[in-house]
Amino acid sequence: MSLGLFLQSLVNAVAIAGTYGVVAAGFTLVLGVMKIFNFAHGQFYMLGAFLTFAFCDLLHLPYIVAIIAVFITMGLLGMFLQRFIIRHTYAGFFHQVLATIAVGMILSQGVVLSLGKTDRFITPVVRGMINVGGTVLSYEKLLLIFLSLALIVGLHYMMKLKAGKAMRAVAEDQETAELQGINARWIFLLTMGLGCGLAGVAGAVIIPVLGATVPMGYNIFVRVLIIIIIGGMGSMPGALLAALLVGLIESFGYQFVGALNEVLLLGCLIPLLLLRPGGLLGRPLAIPE
Amino acid sequence: MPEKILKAAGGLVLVALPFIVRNDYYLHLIICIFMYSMLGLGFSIMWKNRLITCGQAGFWAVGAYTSTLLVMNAGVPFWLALPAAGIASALVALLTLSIALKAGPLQFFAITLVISFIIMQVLGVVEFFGGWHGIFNIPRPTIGSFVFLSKTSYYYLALFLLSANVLIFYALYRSRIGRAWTAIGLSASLAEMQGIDVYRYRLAATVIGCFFAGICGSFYAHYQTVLIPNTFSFECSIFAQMYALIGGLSYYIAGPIAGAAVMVLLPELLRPVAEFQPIIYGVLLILIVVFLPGGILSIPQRFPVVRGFAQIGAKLKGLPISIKNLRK
Amino acid sequence: MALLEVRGLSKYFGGLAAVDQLDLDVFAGEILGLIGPNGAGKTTFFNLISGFYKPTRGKIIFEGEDITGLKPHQIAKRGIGRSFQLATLFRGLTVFDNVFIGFHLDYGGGVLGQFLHTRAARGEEQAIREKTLEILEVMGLAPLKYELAGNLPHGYQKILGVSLALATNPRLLLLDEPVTGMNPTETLEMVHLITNIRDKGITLVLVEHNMRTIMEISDRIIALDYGKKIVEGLPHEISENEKVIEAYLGKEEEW
Repeated sequence: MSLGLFLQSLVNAVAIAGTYGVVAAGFTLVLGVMKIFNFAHGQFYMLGAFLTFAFCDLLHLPYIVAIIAVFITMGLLGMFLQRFIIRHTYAGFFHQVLATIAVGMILSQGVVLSLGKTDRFITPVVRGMINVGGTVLSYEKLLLIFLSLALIVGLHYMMKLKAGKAMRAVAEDQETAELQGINARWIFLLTMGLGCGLAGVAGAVIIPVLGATVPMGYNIFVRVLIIIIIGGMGSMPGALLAALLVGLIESFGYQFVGALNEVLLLGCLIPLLLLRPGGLLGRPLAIPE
Repeated sequence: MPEKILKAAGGLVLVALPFIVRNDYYLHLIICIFMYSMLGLGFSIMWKNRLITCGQAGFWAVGAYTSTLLVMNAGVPFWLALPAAGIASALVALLTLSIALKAGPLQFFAITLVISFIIMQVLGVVEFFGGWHGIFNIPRPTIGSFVFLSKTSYYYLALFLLSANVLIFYALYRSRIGRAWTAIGLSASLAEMQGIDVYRYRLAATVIGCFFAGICGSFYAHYQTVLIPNTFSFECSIFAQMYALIGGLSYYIAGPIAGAAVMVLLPELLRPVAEFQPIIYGVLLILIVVFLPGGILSIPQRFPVVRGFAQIGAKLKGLPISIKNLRK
Repeated sequence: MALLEVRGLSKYFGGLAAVDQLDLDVFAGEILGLIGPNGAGKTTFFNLISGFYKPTRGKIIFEGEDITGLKPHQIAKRGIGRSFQLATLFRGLTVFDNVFIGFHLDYGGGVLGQFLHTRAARGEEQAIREKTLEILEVMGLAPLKYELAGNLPHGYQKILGVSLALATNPRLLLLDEPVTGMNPTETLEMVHLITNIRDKGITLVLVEHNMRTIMEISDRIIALDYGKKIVEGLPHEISENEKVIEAYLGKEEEW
């Protein structure tokens, strides 16, 4: 493998990992704090991308404004989902999951009905590329990497704030946290808003590079599942680490087996599960009975 | 006694149905209900053990493609390919899900989705399986010189397969194995304390469920005569879950059948607004989850007006342990 | 040879030793009482014996066989039963069904026979029904047999929990706080039941905080603290032992 190809794959890996990381982080946040499997998470990502298209190309808002608007919209939508649907599914874990699946279906079809099935792109935010060591890197991709990393770092510092600490407390032990005066309901709303907002922003960040497609929500959801299985369900560092691994495997795997790189992922997954059933950094997380 | 008469009458109706319903299209709908019921039953048997599978589509696909390739490439007669398809699905389940189970129920849940996704990807990407454009002209089943052409003939085949599925499941649920599954479903840790090898029993349920998914797949392939990977999507797996949920999660045999009936007939009513179908499904799902979590078959219990049918409803539950369970 | 031999048993959670180098013997036919303040390691000890935890170190030998590290269902098969502090029951089922399902181990015959519901299988089922009724009679639950387990008053739930453990046909029964949370009448009944169980030849190990009960009923007592054995002896010796009193000082216990 030539140096140029290697660097290219590496950059791709980081780009992929960045996006996956943001989306997986949002999903893990909701899973860890609220113990909910949000099957609609991928659709927030997709919706974020399409909304960015709507804001930028239809409403002619600047890209940065669009990103912020998407974060707020998706955040609010997530909170709405939590308040009016998820909170009422006390029948059980499975019912909760199906409710989120239902929401996902509605969101997905909603996009198709309003914006059609065609892939959407936005007018490029940054143009041009630089040449490093024989590899051609587009500024767009670099922007993507930068924004993803910024989001992850931002999330990290957010967790240190009072709200973040409260989230972690609730994730650890809800009852005790409530006894300490933490309003769990409010934390749930916040968490859901943050998780979905992150997914939406990830979509906003990816649209310049990959565009917005209808299946992108589901596709990234599957990747996120693989990531949390590898990294350990409910573990944030695990999710990020796994996102990096998956990015590397997908990127370099593509060079060798092309479109079958998913099978490669499965091939790595199975031996891992044999050795460490809980994932790399997993904490045991049981289905609430 | 009246129950036996009801059952006998029902059986007679089922056998005579193609001659009562002369319409090919309606027969097609009923065949679909039978087929999808089998997928739902597969989900249900795992759910009895409190395992949630998001992968029914994948194992359905394994059966469909195994059968197709055996018949078209290896000249194997349909009647051998059918059980082979079931076995193939069961084997894939055994190999992959035995590991997934070891990792825990939550991991199992996620992994079934991943596996199903990957199966669809492989079937689409690899040309040997026909790629994304699929396989055409799949041969129909034959008995001697008789070719399965009419809907009626397929109806009886589907009826036979579903009946076999139902009867086998019923016998299993009534046996010691079924009781162990019930115990596992209620409290896996307590079941373990009572000497039940929870892992083995769950694995057995999984493999059996996937076996029948495979059989169903074979039927599907030789009925449709066309096979495209996109059929076996995530949505399809979710539908299998919905059959069980809509019918009623605690009705392990009647539930999926009732649910499949609703899901097959609903689009017929929704013809005029076909593009809103996913949204309507979504809304329906949410309504059921929030307002009728017990599913359709739980309505007699919730609304005393229909209490008369409650007896039959409870019998359909397939919980054979003590008769007193009916008194609810 | 003791029925149950525990040698050097240790269980570490992170750096903390819940059970520390424990050496213990349980002799056939006795009622052994296990006491100690909260956190002394009593429940952890039970979890280790019944297979829920894997020991970090040490050996567990039951009836001469090394059962260290076996899974809970394998240990149940070998004749060790256990009840829980918080009565763990099959809540959706009736009292009768709870115990009936608990007889899982008792089936002989082939899987096929079960599957086809042959006459032999039906005969077995009938035998199990009878055994279930027997246990319910002995435990005084017969009049409640068609009640839903979740609807029973707390005391009866605990008795049902013990019945479930009995359904595994144990030779050694571990009871975790059988009378905690019971009023005096229920406590008396449980004590009566426990002596009945012992009379049937089953060896018992009890963990209890109710000092009077455990002193009354046990043949021998072992006191634990910080995962270690601090004293071992006859009940009246223990109640006057300094180390035991010290371990309990400052902790909320009832005398």
